Amino acid sequence: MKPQSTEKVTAIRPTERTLYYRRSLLLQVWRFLAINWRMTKMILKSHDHVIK
Amino acid sequence: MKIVILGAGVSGHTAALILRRKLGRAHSITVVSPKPKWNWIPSNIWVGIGKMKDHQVTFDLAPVYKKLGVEFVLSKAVEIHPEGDSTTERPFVTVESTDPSTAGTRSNIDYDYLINATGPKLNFEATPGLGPEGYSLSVCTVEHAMETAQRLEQIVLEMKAGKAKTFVIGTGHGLCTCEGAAFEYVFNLEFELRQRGVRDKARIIFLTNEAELGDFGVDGMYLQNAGHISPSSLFAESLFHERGVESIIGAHVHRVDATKLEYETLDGTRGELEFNFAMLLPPFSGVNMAAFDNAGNDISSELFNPGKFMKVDAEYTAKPYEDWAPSDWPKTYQTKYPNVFAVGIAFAPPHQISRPRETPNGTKIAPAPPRTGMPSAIMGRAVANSIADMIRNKSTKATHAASMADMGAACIASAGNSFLSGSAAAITMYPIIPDFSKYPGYGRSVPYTTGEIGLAGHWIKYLLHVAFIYKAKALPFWWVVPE
Repeated sequence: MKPQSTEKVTAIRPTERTLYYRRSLLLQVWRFLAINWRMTKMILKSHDHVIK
Repeated sequence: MKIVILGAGVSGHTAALILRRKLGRAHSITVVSPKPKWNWIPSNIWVGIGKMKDHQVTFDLAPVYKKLGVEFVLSKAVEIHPEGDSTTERPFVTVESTDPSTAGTRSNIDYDYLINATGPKLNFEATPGLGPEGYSLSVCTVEHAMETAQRLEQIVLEMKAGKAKTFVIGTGHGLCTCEGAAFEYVFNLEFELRQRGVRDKARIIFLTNEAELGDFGVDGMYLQNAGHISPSSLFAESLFHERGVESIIGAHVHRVDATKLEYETLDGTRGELEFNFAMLLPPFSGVNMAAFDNAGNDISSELFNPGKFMKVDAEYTAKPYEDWAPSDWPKTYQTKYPNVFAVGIAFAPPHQISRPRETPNGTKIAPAPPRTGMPSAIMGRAVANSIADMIRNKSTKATHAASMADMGAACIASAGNSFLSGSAAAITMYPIIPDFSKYPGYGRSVPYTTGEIGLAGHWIKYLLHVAFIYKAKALPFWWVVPE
């Protein structure tokens, strides 16, 4: 069977602006901080808890 | 009290560190592991593309345990005697040495508390021809990853000489788990081939047991990003599309030969795929351990499921997919013996998270639930906390819970290793087990289930690599680094 061609996939593609955002150092520093903050919140919510 | 931990992976090692910190030196902790080194497995994908060497993802366990006052036994566990035997009432495990000087020698180690964190047996035998001893490659261990990097090096040289090559990356069986690792490897490979100027000579195919891209063995998820909530399938398809990576989804591999593999997809279609390079992950089973009662009767079927995973405080009654509930999942990881626990890959999940499917020919294609990385570490921590409390309170009741139905996961899926041009998908989800009664519509908390790709993701992946190895080495203030 022929593998599914990616050309037929109804996937969204990034715009030039999105690709720029992904590479921009300034914006990525901001995303680095934002993702770390988001992950920290999630980790705090996820840790084991005392059974009451 | 004497605590024995079988396995020194993410879960077992985390439990050992926390127990040592919580309990005084009056209590002894013994770690039994068949391997002398600790391995940060999430970075094996970088070893597998030649971006890291083995020493960057591993370190010797013995000096760390010596510093902490933890006894380290280089052996594999082969038997559990939770009631002792005819000669002793104390429970014990039988271990077989993997130290080259005493290989194969068996001995008994008694315990008051036992944590089974033995991790997976890489079940390459499930598919004929699968694995480094067959015709495909792997990144499951650092040795496998080094071999994969060497093969990649050779093939890139051939491509530079003008030859076109076909790469097949993915899962080597319908019941595999850890699709995320294959996802990371395929994008790192694609990135690496671009970096080396041979991408135009490569046809890259991702072959997966997931019913749709972005399933990851957790039935996919709805991700919040840039003001939209979109399915992870759309997110993943977009990444494949953007990078020109082809995909075959819902696939079980029947056999792997030197240059081609045979597979079957969910609609029952069988196909063949020729390749020059195949990195296919194996399915996991539990390690081979038997259990005996004090009369010497084999009680393995009471302690382990048919896949050799240890049964814990979960709801294992067989029922239809629609009736599965988040409450089925274990909370304390305590077995029928209150002083025996199983964590990480070693515990038996009550059921899949993704819908199990079958082809018209009866071939089962059902991604197994992922329980590596962050969930494994949190389970190790919960059990260590429980045991410390049980010792202090002289109780048989576990005090800490860490159900995957009440736990999130952060997954940083690398898509290229470079400080300035790399990228990774930063995905968080909460909870791991979808709960449609708590979170109608999406099954998970929308604010806590997010995904985005970018250079920042790569920085975070690298930060986690450094932080978790620092923590595992028990360097100063290691405990500040969360699981």
